[in-house]
Amino acid sequence: MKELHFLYEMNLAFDRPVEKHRFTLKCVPCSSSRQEISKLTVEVFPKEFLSTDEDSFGNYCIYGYSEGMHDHFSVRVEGRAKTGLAAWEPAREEHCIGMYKYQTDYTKPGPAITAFAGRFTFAPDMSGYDRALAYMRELHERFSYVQGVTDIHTTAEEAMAQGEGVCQDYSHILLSLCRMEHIPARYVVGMLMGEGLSHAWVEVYSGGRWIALDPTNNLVVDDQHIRISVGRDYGDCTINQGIFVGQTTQTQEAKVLVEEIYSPE
Amino acid sequence: MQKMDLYGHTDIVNELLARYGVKFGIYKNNEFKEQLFPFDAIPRIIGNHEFAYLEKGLKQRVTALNLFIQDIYGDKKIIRDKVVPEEFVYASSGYLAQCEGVAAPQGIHAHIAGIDLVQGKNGEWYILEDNLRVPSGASYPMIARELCRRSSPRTFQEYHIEDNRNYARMLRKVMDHVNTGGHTVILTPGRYNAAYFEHSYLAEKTGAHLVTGSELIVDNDHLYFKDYSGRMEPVGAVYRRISDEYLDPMNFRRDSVIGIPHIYDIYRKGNVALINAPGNGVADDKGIYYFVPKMVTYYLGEEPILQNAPTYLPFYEDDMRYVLENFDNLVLKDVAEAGGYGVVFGNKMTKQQKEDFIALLKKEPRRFIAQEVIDFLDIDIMDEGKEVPRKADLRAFVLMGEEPMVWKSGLTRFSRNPDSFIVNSSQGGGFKDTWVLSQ
Amino acid sequence: MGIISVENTDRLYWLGRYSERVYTTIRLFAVSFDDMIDNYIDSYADFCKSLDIPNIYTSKENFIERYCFDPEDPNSIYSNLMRAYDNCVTLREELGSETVSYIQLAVYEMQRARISTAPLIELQKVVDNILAFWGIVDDCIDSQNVRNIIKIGKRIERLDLYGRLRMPREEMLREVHRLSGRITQTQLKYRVDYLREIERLVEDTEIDYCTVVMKVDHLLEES
Repeated sequence: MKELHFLYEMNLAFDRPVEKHRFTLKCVPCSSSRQEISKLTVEVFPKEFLSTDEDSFGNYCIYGYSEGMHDHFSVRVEGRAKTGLAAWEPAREEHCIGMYKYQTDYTKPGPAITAFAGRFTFAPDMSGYDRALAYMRELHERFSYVQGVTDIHTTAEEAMAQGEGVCQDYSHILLSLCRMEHIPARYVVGMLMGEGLSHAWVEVYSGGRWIALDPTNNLVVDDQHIRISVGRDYGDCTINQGIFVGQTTQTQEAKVLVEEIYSPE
Repeated sequence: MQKMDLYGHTDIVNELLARYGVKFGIYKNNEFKEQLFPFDAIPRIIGNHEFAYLEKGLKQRVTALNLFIQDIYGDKKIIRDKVVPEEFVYASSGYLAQCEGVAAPQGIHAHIAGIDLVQGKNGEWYILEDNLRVPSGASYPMIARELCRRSSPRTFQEYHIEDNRNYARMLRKVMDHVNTGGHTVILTPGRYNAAYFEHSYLAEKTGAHLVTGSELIVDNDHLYFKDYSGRMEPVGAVYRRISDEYLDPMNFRRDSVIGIPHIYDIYRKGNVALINAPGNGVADDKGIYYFVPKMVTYYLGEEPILQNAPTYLPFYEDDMRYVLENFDNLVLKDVAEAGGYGVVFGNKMTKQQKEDFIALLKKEPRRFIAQEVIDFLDIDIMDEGKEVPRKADLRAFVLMGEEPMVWKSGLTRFSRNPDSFIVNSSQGGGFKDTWVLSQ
Repeated sequence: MGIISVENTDRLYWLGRYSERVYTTIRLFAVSFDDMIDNYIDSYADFCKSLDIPNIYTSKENFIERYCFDPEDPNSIYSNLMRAYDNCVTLREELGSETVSYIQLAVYEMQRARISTAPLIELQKVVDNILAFWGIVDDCIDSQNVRNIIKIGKRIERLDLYGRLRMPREEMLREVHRLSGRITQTQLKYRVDYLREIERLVEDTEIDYCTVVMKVDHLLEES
């Protein structure tokens, strides 16, 4: 168990001003059986109206509108999280989470993933969690962390075929493998201790529980991760989505900072 | 039956239909063209008792379908109880995860259902397809009736026919019932949509505003319509004639330019009604169709009144065996396609085509359904002054307001080509009025 | 209802303008057509000049064919009628099917005229339908706002055309008078200063037609 201070900052700069900007943000972590969020502050600028909602995956969404001309857009989320409160999160009954069992466009397996999966033979009574763990271990051996070789549109199959990628790719591949075995599995976006970018990992359904695995770091998630959102794949967890009027080039800068708080006592 | 006075007025009625711009749009070589929808004056006539039976069956079916949609995006009892296999739900392109846990105003998802039926030579009616997304076609018999009465009043004195011009009133009732407070609008993708005539005609007849996406705006969790003097008028119900994917670029397809950003977020909060509700595609999928009679029994505890055309799911081993053994007698449908596309007849394939198709069928059994070819009861049409038989179907309209209502008419479409079974208007063909006798 | 969206206001206005343009240019064309029967090989050049449209035509026959019926020529009567039609079909719920049908009929007549050996006779039917359209607008549309917006379009277009044609003062005076009487009845935003100036200009001994046309064209723009 840890107590963490977190900060998420995102700045969007437009080289020419835009207007009628609509946005949906999924960048705020929520309390669950595993983490407890407190002292939360959220700032969005500029905005004409701001509202909040919970999407169909249970994520906290902020959505709003900036009508007038603006050349930058910024979001700042800060707060505290107690993490590692439990090893897993209770799941809904299995017939209710079917949507996490089927492949999406991002996770649909092709020859590379099918070949990878072909190496495994599982005992029939082996749990979903143990299978996912076996995949993760093997994936760690055979897939390399390399930045810049994939992008947000890269599918699991494409990444697997080239053998390199980042956390999004690790996660999509693991999802694809689990779903081939009919194990419900979902994509997670969140923050990892230290300074850097947002992170992605996976939650696997096993015996009525969601258990989180971080395939990029080849570990079972404990108390170093703060979860922001879940979904079937990256597409459901887009941190910042927007449309606006204006011909412009946008540059996005995002920063995540997560530090442990040491109580004086 | 003695020749009706109306038959002699076919040309006049068609001329009047042209005058009132009763057309549908099509794209040919990337160019938008408007085409008249040819009208045939010989009506489909359904007797009073027979229609009462259809009415009962249709209400039952749509009630069950509505409960199914509610259940699928809610508790999913039908999956838990293994009445519908979950792969048919989640692998359906009509299933939208965004609809999970979202309650539709008044619990109504399928406000306007277009149910396609055919009548067999044995007189039996069969359901061919349920259309629960944006079924179109009601406007055609509506205006045709108006013009037929004008052209041949004698015919309508002689026959006692249920007036079908009440469709607008029924529709208005449905829209008002779910309205969350504010104006009612009909949302069209625009002038170049195939069914634009219908959108504008229904707007005129119901007194709703016809709008495009750019005329509506979400502000402070509510939907507004901007008046030319700058006033913001609240909107409480949107009869949208654009598909789910294009409804809201912030929640569905991000490249949609005809939708309204964030409309789905406020719908989720119950601040506007969307007619029909998003996500209905999960229930009118060709694969799910097989299970509709089972839904009737499951949700209502009743025997289904109306039958499906005999259908097989290659997904089930027994059915696959049957399909392979009786391939030549069956029609195969790709569950992902609509509008008469993706439909093939076993006996019309070459040897090679058959082999390829069977290979595909074995590889992706969930993708297809197989149906017995129904021996249609043909209906006569006028062809150069002669009455000749043609295949025809019936689209019945079921409207769900406080309670389900069946429109006492329907769109009868026929194929122009004597050998064709496909009656879709996007593939040539015309339409007829559907008379329900009042006594 | 009584609410008209920004888009529909715009469409009503342009429906008024294009229907007027078709009506007046057919009448002008008829005069010019009659002229061309006798002599004047290139009287169509004057016609183009007076209407301020580019003379892209190669002969008398080419002019008659293209100016009337060429869908590719943006200044043709056909193109203008199609613009009226495009605006009209998107206004069914404001105008009613009955009203819309007259513009539809004008389009059918235009298509017939195109293949006719006596196009002027068929074009007369286009005019008949436009006149019927205006009649039904007056007679059957309950909303005063809807009626007024169409008519503002019609009045502005006519004044614009008359200005270009350098019509005599009485004609100009009458059209300006009709326009100012109508425009104050709507909630449309317009340049009051321009309207006053137009009213003054047509009183001058030498009417400055160029300025009149320019002010008319910008009358509805916000200052």
